Amino acid sequence: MIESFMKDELRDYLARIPSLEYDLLIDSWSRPLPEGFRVNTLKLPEEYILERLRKKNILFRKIPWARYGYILEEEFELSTTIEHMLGLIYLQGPVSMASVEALDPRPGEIILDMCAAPGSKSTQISQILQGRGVLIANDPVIDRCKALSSNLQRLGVYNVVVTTLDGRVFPKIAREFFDRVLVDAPCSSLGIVSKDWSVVKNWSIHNVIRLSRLQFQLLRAAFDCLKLGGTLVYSTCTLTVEENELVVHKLLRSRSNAYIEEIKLNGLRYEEGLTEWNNMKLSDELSKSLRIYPYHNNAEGFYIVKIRKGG
Amino acid sequence: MKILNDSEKKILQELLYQQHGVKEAFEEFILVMGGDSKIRATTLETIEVARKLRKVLQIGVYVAKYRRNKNDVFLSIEGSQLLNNQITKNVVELSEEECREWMRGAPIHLSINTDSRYIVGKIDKIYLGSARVSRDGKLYPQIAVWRRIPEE
Repeated sequence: MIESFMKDELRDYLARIPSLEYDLLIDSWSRPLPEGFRVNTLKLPEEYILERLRKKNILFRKIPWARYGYILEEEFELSTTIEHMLGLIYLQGPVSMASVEALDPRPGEIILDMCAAPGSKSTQISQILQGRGVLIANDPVIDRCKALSSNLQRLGVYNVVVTTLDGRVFPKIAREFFDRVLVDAPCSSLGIVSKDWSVVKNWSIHNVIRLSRLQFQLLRAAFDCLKLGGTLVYSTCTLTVEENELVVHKLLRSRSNAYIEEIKLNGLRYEEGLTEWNNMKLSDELSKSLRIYPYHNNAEGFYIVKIRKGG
Repeated sequence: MKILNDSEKKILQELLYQQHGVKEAFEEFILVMGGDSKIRATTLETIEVARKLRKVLQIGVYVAKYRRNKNDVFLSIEGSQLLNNQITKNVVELSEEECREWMRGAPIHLSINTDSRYIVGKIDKIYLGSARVSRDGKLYPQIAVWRRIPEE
C-alpha cells in the first residue's frame, strides 16, 4: 500500500543503500510504531510511578538501552492519564531515547540541546542531570518552543534556559563553552514514515541536499562551541547518506581534532555507518556510527554518531 | 524577568509559611518574577549561563503566582511538588476520582474548614498545586488549560 505513494526516485535511492533491506523497510513502514515512555525520576522514584501504572493494568516492558525507558505491550491511551499530565511519565519513541544515552550526560555539566523542540531529549537530559549543571534547550522556531516550554514545565526542570537562537550562531556567543552538545537535526524523516506517510510522498533528493547543507552548518557550530575534550552527538531520524555519513565526513575533513567514538548501547540492533557512497571513499571512522533501520528494533529508524573534540 | 532580592523573597516565604506552614520555602533556589506575576525557580549557575546567552525565552520552572495587590500566593503543580512534605497546612488529601476531577480543572465540593484563600491538593505522595477556595465551599483547581485531562 505505502509503495503506491512512493516516487521512483525514492525507490531507486533506497535500493542503492548497501546495508538496507528494502522489503523489510516497506513492511515496517506499514506497521504502527510502538508506544514508548520514560518514567520521570525528577519527581518521584521510578518504582513508585511504575506501581501506579501497574494498578491501572498497563502492561509494559523495560527498554534495555535506555535508563527509565519502557515500551507498552498493549495499547493504552497514556496521554490522558493523570501520570502524564502531572509529568510523572513522558511519551517518547524507544529509539529516540538512544541519542541521549549515547551522549551520556553527567550531573554538573553544561549541556546544549541545539534543536530541542518539542523537548523529548531535553527532558531526558535534564533527568540524567538530576538538577545539577545547566541545560540549554534551544529551538529557533518560537511556535515549537511553546511545546518545549510546556514539556520542561510538566517534567519539573528548573536548571534550564530556553533560547530561540539559530543554532548556527552559537559559536559567536559561546565558543568552547559546553561540556556536551546534542544536535538532533531537522531531517527528511524517513525513519518515522509509519507516523506520517506524507514523508514518502513529499520526499525529494533536492530537499535532502538542502537539509544536508543546514545539518553540516549546525554540526560544525555544535563542534565549535564544545569545550576541548567535550563530546557531541549528532542524530537524525532519517536514512539518507547525504544527511548522515556525508555530513559527518565533511566535519571530519574540516576539523582535524574531531574523532568518532564508539557507542555501546545494551540490546540496540543496528548496522554500522557506511564508509563508501556513490563510489566515494568516506572515513573508515564512520563505521563507528549507528544506522538504525525501523525493522531492527520494530521502532523508529535513526542515525547516531558520537564525536569527541580532541585537545 | 527580575530576580527577587532577599526582602522580596522573604515576603513570599512568609506568605507560604502562613498559608501552608512551609519554613523558608524555595530557600535553595534563585527566584525570578515575570511580568505576569509568575515566579520561577532556578539555580545561580543557570542564571549565570543565561547571562552569557541571547534570545532567552525563559529560565527555570514556574512555581507560584504572587499577587502583590491581594497579598496572596498560589502554587503551581511543580511548585507544590518541589515543596512536597514541607506543606503541612491547608492541604487536602484527594481520592483517585477527585484527583481526576482536579486535573480536569473542574470545581470540587469538599467540606473543609479553612480561612485560607488557597489550599493544596494531594494524592498519596503526589502534590497537585493549589485550588482557590470559594465562598460556596467549592475548590477551583488552578490547572493551566493545556494541562487539563480532557473530558471522557
